[in-house]
Amino acid sequence: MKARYPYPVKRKVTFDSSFWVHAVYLDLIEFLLQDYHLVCTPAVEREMGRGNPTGLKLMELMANGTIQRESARGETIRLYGDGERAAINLALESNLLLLIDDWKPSEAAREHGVEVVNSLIYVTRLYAQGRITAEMVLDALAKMTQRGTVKPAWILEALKMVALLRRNSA
Amino acid sequence: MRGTEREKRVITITVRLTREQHEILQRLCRLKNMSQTAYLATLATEQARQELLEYAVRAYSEGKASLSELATKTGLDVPTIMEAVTAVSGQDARAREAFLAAARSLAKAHQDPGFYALAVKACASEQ
Repeated sequence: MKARYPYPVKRKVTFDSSFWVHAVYLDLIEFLLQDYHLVCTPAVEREMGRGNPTGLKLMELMANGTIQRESARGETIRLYGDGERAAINLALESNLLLLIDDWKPSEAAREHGVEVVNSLIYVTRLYAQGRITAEMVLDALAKMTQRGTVKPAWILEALKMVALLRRNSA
Repeated sequence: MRGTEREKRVITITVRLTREQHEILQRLCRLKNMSQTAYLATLATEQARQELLEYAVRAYSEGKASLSELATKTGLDVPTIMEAVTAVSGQDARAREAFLAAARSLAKAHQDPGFYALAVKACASEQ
């Protein structure tokens, strides 16, 4: 007989700096910790700095062991900045889901066969799961529109998905 | 060399000034009660940092480089670059208009006026 687990086994994921900044800004950290086992590369940790709230949040979670430090042994992808290169290589080598909000490296990762998720897709999924309201997801999308640090086409796609989910749930 | 030792090490740079330039510098430093070395070091560092940030914002906005690449190139951290990008793009009303126009079209297509109302509310709370 198969054992039934009350909670699914958490998938191990890694992330780049752009995703982490947005996740803190949109208040997604608690959800992420419920859903995933997060690992961070030293290069992403360095890129976050120590003099800002997003960097401090990462430091705190790494210091208490909630987020673990991990690096890739090899370097398959050599392009781009230190943090994104390290995160992509770790995802590739360990077959991890990559949370990334920067379009260029996200495309590079996808082309190399890495499974990628951005914060807009993630927040839309939370809505689809009924963990946040339509008001909250639209608030997050409006915030990201105002920030100008994600590809506008991604926001539009997320908006379409939310509209569709609302229609289907009506 | 360890990090702390490296940080404490002082680099000397010689700056050549004309008599006129030096006089201006001297006058200002006297008024500010500051040494010329301290003044030039602060000024140069702040100006260089600002220009690095401007370079990063421009390169990111033009799609020429990713945030991580710019952090590697400039030595600035990613959150600092992102905040500077937001400070510039936040003044652009076109993104907000495009968001609302898309929400309006979707609300109409799905016969869901409440969707547009929520989008308007979300945008209003961001202003």
